[in-house]
Amino acid sequence: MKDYLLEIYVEEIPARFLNNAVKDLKTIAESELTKYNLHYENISTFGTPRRLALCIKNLDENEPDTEEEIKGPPASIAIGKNGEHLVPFKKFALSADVPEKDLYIKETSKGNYLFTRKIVKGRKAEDILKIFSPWLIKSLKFPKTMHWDSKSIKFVRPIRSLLSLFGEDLVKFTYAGVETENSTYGLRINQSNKIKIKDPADYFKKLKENYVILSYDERKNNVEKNAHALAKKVNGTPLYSNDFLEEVVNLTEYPTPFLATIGKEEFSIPQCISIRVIEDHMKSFPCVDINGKLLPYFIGVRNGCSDFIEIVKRGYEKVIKARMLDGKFFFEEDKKISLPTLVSKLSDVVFLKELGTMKDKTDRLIILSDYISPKIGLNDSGSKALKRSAYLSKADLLTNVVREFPDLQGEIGGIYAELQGEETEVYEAIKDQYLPRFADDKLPKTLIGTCLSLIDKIDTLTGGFVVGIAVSGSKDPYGLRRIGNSVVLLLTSINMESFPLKELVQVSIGLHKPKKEIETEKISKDIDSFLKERAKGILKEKNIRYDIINAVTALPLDLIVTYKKKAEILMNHINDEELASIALANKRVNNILQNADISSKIIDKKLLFEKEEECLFDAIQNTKIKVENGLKQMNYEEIIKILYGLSPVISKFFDKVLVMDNDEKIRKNRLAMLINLKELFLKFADFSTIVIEKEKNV
Amino acid sequence: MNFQEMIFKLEMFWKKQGCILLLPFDEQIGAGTLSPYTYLRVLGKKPWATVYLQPSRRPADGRYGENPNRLYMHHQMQVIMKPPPKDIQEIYLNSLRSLGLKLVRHEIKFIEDNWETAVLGAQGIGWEVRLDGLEITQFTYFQQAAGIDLDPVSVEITYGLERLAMFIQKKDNVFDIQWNDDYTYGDLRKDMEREECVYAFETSDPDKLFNLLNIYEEEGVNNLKKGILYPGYQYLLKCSHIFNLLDARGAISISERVQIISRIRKMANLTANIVLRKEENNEGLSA
Repeated sequence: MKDYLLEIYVEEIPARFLNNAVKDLKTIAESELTKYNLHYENISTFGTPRRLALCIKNLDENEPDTEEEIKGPPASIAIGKNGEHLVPFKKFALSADVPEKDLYIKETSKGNYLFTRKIVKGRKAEDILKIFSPWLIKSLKFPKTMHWDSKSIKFVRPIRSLLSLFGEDLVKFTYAGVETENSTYGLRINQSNKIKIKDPADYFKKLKENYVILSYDERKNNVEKNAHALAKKVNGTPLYSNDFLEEVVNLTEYPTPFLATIGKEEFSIPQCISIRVIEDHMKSFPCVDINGKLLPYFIGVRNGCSDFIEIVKRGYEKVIKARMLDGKFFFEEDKKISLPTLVSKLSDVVFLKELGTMKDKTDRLIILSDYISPKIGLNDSGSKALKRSAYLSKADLLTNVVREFPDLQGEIGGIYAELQGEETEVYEAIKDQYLPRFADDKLPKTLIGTCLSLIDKIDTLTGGFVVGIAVSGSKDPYGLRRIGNSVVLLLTSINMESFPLKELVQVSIGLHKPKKEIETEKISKDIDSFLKERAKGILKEKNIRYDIINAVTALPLDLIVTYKKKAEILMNHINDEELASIALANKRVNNILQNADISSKIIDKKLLFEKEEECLFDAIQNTKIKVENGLKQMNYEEIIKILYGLSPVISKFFDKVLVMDNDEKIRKNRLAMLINLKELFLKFADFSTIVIEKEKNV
Repeated sequence: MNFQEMIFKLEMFWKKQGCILLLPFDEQIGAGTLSPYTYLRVLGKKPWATVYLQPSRRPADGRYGENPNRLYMHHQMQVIMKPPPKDIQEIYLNSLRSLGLKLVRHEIKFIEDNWETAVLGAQGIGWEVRLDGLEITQFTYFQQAAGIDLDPVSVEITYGLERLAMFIQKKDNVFDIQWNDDYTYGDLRKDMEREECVYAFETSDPDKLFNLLNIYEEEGVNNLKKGILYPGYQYLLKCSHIFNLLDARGAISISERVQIISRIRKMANLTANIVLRKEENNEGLSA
């Protein structure tokens, strides 16, 4: 057994592709190796911007020999009447390369045939690796690839060297015009000469000596640890998302973080612009104090060791000065133009092809804001604030800052609105209009902000459905799924018993002027089920059980605001006996109603004969009032308790009362009672979908 | 090292790598890529290697010569090699060493940066090269020009000379760069920068510029339709510059912008058609 090492040495792989490539390399290698009869201990893969490496630990040197049974001609034509060996017999022995005595007859479903056994020599691992490794490189997929030499070969970036060692032996092959060698290179700047590698163990040792840290985790830990230590020196913490950390780490083979300073003069621009400059232009980490306020420092990460790092640091400081001054220039220029002036120019900006300009969108948002304000009980000043923020919301798309840093749309518009004397509610709503961008993102701080974000997204969503750019399968050109998710997240954050979503969607569809009335109905339905699907997905991510998800999403779309809260309550009670009995009762009711002819849900009190049905009747009336109150107060815990109270009454009813009475009047009256019961439960959720343990065991 | 010395050094360096030293293309253009020495020469099979300085005008970036970093016109050193040598990155780093940079004292990063110019059907994959955080070079493997997949591909290396000079001469202001030992960049360029900006932002006559655009377009289209490639293409370049001037003047609305770009794209398509035809007839352009 020996270790095998493959290194693909390339020009800089884009940081965003690296970790996936390392993962894929391992998966592909593992699945490909199952095709051979070679054992090994494990496979590990590594990646830096300059190389992808794969190491197979303790790989067999040979496949074991195997015995194989080979089928020959039918015995009837191979053996003569007297048992003599005829021509086919001899030919088979010859072709199988075995003595004639090793042939034997065996019965098969198609009669007797000649057979023989043959030892198949296992292949040498080295020969297998010669096929395996080029195949592996070829199988690696990247989101974007390129040509650099031959037209037939594509890879993420040009391959410049290949190292392929089985123990101390070079495994020879050629890929993309590059022949394998027993050498590689260290960190570029320090070491441009080839480094000879004796065996896989030597590879890891030599790379470390030559300033290459192969493991992403090791580089990442190093960056995080040092970045925090450096920030601490100025009483701050480094600010970064995991994605950005990954990008910064994967721009290095040997990361060395350093602390650099931003000059006072350049620092006097809004914090969000400074952060974009530090991240986008400098690929560095901003530092913030305990209140989240930006400090005039940042942490750069040098690709290299700490020698001469002062020079590198001064370079970064000089660059950031120029970049910040640019940011300041743009900011000052933008300040000179009022937002309403920019709004009038939005008719020049296309929103989405077929959905008009940003001015058109703004006009629609104003109408939607007018529509929604009274429905959700905004007072006069609240309604005005929502309308004003809708009017100004897209103005910043025409500012220099947004042209330079598109991510700052919304936030910077809010800052300009604040500077131009707009009211707090207005500029906060403008700032937050794109939130939440993803599942765990921040939500708008205010109800007005939530509404602005909501009507903006509803407008895009309905527009998408109206012009037919909606989602299908893997296609989602306008990111409507993400927008749908945001809509659900916004709605679940609203503290209301119900939200007029369905009407809002219909009004919004109308603003896009679909061709026919019927079309509006169909689109509205499609959006309804689309949003429910999104809601299911989001609840699933919150680890809500699928049956509970079905129970709450069975409620109408306008109750989407309550899905999550109700699902969470149900999850808390999932092991209650009472819940199980309620679920069973609902299933039973459904079963009965399914096969019944029901015309009315009006219960005739005079037709109630049994004590148990009178009890149930009274219980339904009482509970209904309590449940409705509970819903108004959004006291869902209380409602569960109230519904539990019904459980014994229902049990007794089913024990003593035969619903399907022979008398039609009595039967219909009892069925009407069950409908009332069902509707009562459906005010909270569809309990019949809840799977109970007993049921599972049956 | 002064500015003119840098130019000599880089030209000498690439000359030694087998590049033909050409002179700047005599049109007002926004980038070295637009020069026919690049755009029309990366097409075809025949090897091609050149180095040339290209003054590049981007009116909207002008700041009247008052901003320490932004210029109306800057200088690019453009290198094209078809096919690219296998150790082209190392050769490039050596070109920096030839300017006296001791790279072990600095940091070099190649950060993903692909570009695409839909108008010209051109795209490339590569990086921006950063020296201690400063973007000094675009390093690109040209994949497509005029909508044609290139085979072989060319490598395009574009140095931003002012930035590199500021780095090497440790200047904070571009106008303080020593052009030679007696003259600064500012002595030679500042007046011109300022006046170009006054013209572009204040005194240019949008109506006349629109007229010029129409005239240049007509002349270009007429000639491209006759299969006259190079003169026709030069009119495309003129249109592109006029467009940039109008843009800097704030004279084009966004819908007009879309419309002008599509007019220029039509000229580029005509250019591509001629190029394709020549390719098919084996009149390889670089032959």
